[in-house]
Amino acid sequence: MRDGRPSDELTLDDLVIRSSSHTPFFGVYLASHAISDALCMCHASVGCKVKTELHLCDHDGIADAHNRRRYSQFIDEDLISGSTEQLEDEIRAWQARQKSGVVLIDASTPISLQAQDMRPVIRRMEERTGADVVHVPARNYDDDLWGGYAKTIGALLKRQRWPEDDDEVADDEVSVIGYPFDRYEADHQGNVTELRRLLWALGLKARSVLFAGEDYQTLKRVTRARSHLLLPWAHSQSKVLRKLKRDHLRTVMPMGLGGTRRWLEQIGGHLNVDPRRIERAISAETDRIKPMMELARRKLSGRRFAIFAEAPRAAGLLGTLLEVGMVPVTVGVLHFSLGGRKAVEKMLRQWFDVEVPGFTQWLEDPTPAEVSALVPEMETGTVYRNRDTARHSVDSVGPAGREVGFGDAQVAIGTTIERELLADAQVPWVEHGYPSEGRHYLFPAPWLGYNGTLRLLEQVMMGLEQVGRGGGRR
Amino acid sequence: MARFRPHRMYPGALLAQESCTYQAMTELLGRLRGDLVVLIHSDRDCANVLPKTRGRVHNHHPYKFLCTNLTEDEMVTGQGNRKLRRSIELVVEQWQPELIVVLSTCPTVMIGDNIKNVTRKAGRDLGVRAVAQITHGLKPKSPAEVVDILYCTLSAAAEKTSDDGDRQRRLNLVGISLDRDERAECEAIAAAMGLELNAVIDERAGTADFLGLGRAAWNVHPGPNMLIAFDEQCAERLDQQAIEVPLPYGVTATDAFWRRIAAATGVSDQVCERAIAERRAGAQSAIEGFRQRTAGQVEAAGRPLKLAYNIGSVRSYDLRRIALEELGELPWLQEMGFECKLFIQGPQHAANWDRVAAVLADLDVGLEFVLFPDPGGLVHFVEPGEFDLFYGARFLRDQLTQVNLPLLHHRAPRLGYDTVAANVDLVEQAMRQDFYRHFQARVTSQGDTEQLDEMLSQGKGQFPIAQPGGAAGGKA
Repeated sequence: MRDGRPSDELTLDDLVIRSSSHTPFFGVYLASHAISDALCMCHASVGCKVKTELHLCDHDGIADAHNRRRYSQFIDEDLISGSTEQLEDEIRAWQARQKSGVVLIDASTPISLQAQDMRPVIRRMEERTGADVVHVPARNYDDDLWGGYAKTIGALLKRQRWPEDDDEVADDEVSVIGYPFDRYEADHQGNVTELRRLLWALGLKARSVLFAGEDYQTLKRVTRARSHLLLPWAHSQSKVLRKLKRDHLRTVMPMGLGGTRRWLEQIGGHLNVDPRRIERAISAETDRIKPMMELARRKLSGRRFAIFAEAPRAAGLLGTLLEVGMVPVTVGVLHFSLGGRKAVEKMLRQWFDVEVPGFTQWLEDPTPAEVSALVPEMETGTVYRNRDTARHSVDSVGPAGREVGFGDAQVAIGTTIERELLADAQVPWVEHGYPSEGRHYLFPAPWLGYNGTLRLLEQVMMGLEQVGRGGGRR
Repeated sequence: MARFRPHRMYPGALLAQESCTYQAMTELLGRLRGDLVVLIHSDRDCANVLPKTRGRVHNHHPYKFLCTNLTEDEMVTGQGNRKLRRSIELVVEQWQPELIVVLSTCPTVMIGDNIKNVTRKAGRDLGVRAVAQITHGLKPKSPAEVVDILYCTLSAAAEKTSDDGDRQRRLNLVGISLDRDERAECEAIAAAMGLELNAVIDERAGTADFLGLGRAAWNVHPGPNMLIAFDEQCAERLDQQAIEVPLPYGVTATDAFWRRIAAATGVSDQVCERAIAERRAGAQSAIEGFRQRTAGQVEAAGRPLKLAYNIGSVRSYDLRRIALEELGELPWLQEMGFECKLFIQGPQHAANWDRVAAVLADLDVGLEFVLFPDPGGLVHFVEPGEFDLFYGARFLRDQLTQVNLPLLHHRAPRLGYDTVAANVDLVEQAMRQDFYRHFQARVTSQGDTEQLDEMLSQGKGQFPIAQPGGAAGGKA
């Protein structure tokens, strides 16, 4: 939660616009973008649309960011009179045009200041349009985009008509809840396919994934699921499922060898899958990928890396890269609703059984200046330590008698924002997470599960391969 | 259909989208060069009108844009003014910028924070130049009006220099962005006419450019009906005259651009023609080459090349885009031989069809047009095979690709004579069909043409304009 600081204690850092300045207003929009036939109706004035599509149009190269987002365009008269007429007109007009499965109302700050009650609007609009209309009551003052994304999931779960009869629940069906689907590109396609494939190996079907870029009808099958598997991005919504009295499980992060194994064991155990079946599924996968993992370990062991990501993704990346012997020099934990350094360290212990070395440099919800300051001031002609191709074991980096920092990183993994802030360092960069405006995918490129582990390590290898390779002798 | 609630639009940009003055100011100030800090007085959400990538939050200082990031508690308990004051103090302590601009947003306007007084008093007490603008989205304005307001504000401190004898031969180009090559050509032609380019005032201008405006006697800008308040202010304070010009795309419009400048500044026809002759010939040759190369295609199709020309789909603050109702490039495309039809984004209400027809008639543009209400449904208005090229906003590509219609992004062409050959090349590259021959046209977007048939059956979108009772009118 973002607390206000008394004016006397204010610092410039309190005034800074940072990655985490994205609010739930954007998170709700992002979630609506992830349902292929949802309409995001921003209850907002004319300028607010820029807070949504502008931040996605360069990230998602497949589905245009503006096509399923509309705004009520309220003006002063509407606010003074408390009128929702314009909002309702727009919902009706756009619903008639787009035949949306669901309409999500995403309210801007003036609406929350007025504490406008959306229940009558929802009732009228559902009667008039026949579509589900859902208002996500997120708070723009003190939450971030992942908070808004998760709250959208919670609001949609509450809106479903849950069966009271067990006959309507499929024994072999589960739902996956909280997948961070932010674009219709092959990285996410790959992940969703991989999660379904892994669950199928346990005899479980995951027809409904919140969210997977699929339509609302598919999403609504969530009510048929026997159990609901909450990925870390939606752990906060377990309270909703508890209230709905639905079986659910807060899962670990299915990344890397250890994370994926634990994920399968955790789910299998929770759903009473025969332990032999779980082990067979895991062994089949690890046998298959072992030669590739050996190759990755040979290439990556001892290489130094930096990452920038929200807490669960950071933990997953760290777990995966530590498994092949890579050495973390800088960890930037972005945003705040999913936790900071402590959360990442806890996830690593619980999910991966690994610890981050003591010398690793940490940043939490950093300002742009804090990220930029990672690039050391250099005199012309000096060479960054990242050009030093020597390998170090985790044990040898820290005690080597000098301070370790981003300048030591041989490869960085993170978003476009940090890439741009650290461009001067010329560290090979694997764009990952939101936003990734430079890196786009044409063919499945997961980062979850066993296939995702291979694909992620492959990208890190390719990133490292670019350094100093311009022809000539290697 | 949603309500049609037209707001008061700016006379020279009646077909443009309306905008939030706060968002507009951030976009314009974001590109402005100079020792400037913009302080947004708002909750944290409104800071998100700024893109977080491509270095757009940073400029002269580590942070060009800062936000008071008001919490709910601060808003409802009236602590906003105090926080704003302290924020200005922090900015001054850290950077002492030449200028601090404070902007309000919808929430801070709603709670009634007095940003003008707080800013004025802070500026006075701290000895820094600080101005506040009441900006918000609760009363939408035309982008052209926002540009006019900003240019007035930033040039308010400019002073008329003593007439050194050269003032009458100096021009300011206002609202016409120029890249390096375009500017070089402008300077060369102006010099050949005995004129000098004093300043280019555009979205990338610096504070110093605005302060130096008074060295010139002339402000050249696109028109008609652009920069109305700016012209009045400059006439009154700087004794300057405006020269309204077309945007110099292609040969005909560039001719008109220079001839109007020559006529206004007293340059003779012969000097003007001599100044443009060589460049003009090269440009003309490029246009003729295109027509010759496409003659076979025209003959085979049994019709002229056809182009769909898009208006109103982007909210831009670049006068090069929004002046002349976004029709600045039309003369160039027509001289290349395209038969053009206008695709204008806007509500399909009958009143809007009539309003658009009247705007076009005023500009002497007698082209057939259609109104489409939603960029995500444009494809339903485009008949497959009807057009050879779509000229418009890049983000419409997801629509056009469904019917295999090539798109030329309307920001791609450049100004002047020297760039005509490159512009022709852009068109030819865009029109190449090799890629689309592998794909079938298939419409996947939801929706339909809604009121289109009904409106067309009433004669709307056609010229001459149908009058009540069946009489035709209009200038076309």
